Amino acid sequence: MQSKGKEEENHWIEAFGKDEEKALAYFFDLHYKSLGYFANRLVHDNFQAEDIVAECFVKLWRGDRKNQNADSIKAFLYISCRNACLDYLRHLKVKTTVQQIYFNELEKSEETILANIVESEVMDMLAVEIELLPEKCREVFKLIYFDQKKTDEIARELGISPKTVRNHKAKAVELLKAAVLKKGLSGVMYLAFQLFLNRR
Amino acid sequence: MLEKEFHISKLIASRLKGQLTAAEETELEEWLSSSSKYRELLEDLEDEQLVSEKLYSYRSVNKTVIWTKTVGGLQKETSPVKPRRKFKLLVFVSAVAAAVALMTLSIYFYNTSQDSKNIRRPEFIAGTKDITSGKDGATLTLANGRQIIIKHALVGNIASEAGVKISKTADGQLVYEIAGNDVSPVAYNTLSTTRGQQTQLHLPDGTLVYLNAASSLRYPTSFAKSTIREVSLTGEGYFEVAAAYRSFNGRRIKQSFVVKSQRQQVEVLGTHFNINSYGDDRTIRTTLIEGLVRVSSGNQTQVLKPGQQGVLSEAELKVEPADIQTAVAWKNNEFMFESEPIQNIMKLVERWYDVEIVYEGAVPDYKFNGAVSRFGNVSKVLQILESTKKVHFKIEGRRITVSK
Repeated sequence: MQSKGKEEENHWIEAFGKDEEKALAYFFDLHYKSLGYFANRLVHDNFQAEDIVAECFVKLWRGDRKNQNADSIKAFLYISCRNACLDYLRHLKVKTTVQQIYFNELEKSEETILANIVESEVMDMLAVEIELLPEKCREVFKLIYFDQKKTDEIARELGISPKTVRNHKAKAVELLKAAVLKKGLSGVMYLAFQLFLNRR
Repeated sequence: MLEKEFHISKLIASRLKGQLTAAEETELEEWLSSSSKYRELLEDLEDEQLVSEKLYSYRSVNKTVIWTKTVGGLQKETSPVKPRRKFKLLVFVSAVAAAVALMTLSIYFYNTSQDSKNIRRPEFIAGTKDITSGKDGATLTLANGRQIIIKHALVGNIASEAGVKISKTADGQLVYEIAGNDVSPVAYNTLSTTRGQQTQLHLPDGTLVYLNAASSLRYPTSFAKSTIREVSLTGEGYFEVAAAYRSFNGRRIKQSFVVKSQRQQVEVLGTHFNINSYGDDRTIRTTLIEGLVRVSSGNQTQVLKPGQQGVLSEAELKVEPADIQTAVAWKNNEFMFESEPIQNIMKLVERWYDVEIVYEGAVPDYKFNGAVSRFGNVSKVLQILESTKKVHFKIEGRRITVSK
């Protein structure tokens, strides 16, 4: 699994260096979510965060496309994003209380920003973990947790009976228990899933 | 730059999974002690409630909107004289299929590599012929009533007639250009497609129009003498409107562009948008990709921003968030549908493949997601739908029977 991922990544890095547009789409797909999350943590404005992230990818494409590797591209994106967010906040005439507090914080301490970068990356990895859950389990988990949907909504959407949905939920819990034993998922991760499976 | 931070985030993820080695524990501990902010971060990440809120916020980052804005930003760089290098939305869709998908927004039913191992003829095709896709083509009806069939073959012949020039773009698309004709009174031409056809053309002002199947566009042969540029659309069209100016008392004023369709009109100033207005559909949908438009119907009027769509039902004009990729998928030669009932999907199939759709028994009420090229045979589209096991098809000649 690892080596396959590496091969594909190298293919796209090469393509990126050769100015192939599809390569930008690959890196976009890889990083837009963590960047969007990061930008939003800084500026506390969804709409603005979207604009900023888009700008970062434009800058990435317009920058030096040769001699890059996966980490340098990621770092470039985060740094552009950070700079754009700080610029935005600096020039924002009317700030909300949250923005004001956050901006003062950011100006003072570089660590806050670095901590946010680490956080965004961790979110990314947690999301991958969820993707690796077995299919049915993942489907139901996402609908409950991410879309905050209720049992009968899910039943309608997947075209199955509410009873079946509840069975899937029960099975998801079972599978997760097994996963804990097999993969050694920490108690926290397990509890996190448990909390949300039980919420609905 | 940031190597330390990327490395630490991997350590934290491992820690949450309970998989840290002793050496890694020490390393992480060192980093945590270097700042109270770092320790705070770890505490937050070990709090299930907080993590779930963060994941929710992470999850709501909108791919389509950001990509659209990215494409918009990339297109702005070229000068108007050179042919514009287009980052089509299609590029994004193909890359998604190839790339490692970290977070899918919905469940797409692509033909997975497992399925392609068992490729055999779908069982629902009776007889020997599969139905081929729609093609590029159209009919041009001049003001004097004369009709010209526009197809690949007739490149040279049409050129001299009615000031129509046919050229090929860099990526091989056929584009029909109408040379401006400043004759008064202004004459109107109608470009129309039948079921199974689609076409693109440049209007005299440089506006690019894509016409989907079973659609028509009525336009004047010259915009020079008009106060506004006005065209009429039935069916579905995608527009990239060029900015244009007219002279008034020796000054240059922006000339607005108006698309009239049944019951509504859309007014624009240099922008990209899609209008879906088929006579046999109950709603008219206007999706804005870039720029700004005003949609009016009767005495209702709404202004749309990029990423929004105007939905005109029987009586009401509403503004809703749009899924741009899905709305313009056709122009990028893809069928794309997200959470669509089967009847809507079969409507698209009916128009593009020019077939008859018949329903047998109860209509499946499942909501389908999928993306597939428009240039495949119809069996490819039906295969993808059938793989959900929620619907079944039978093809007999040009009739497709749909059942549960």
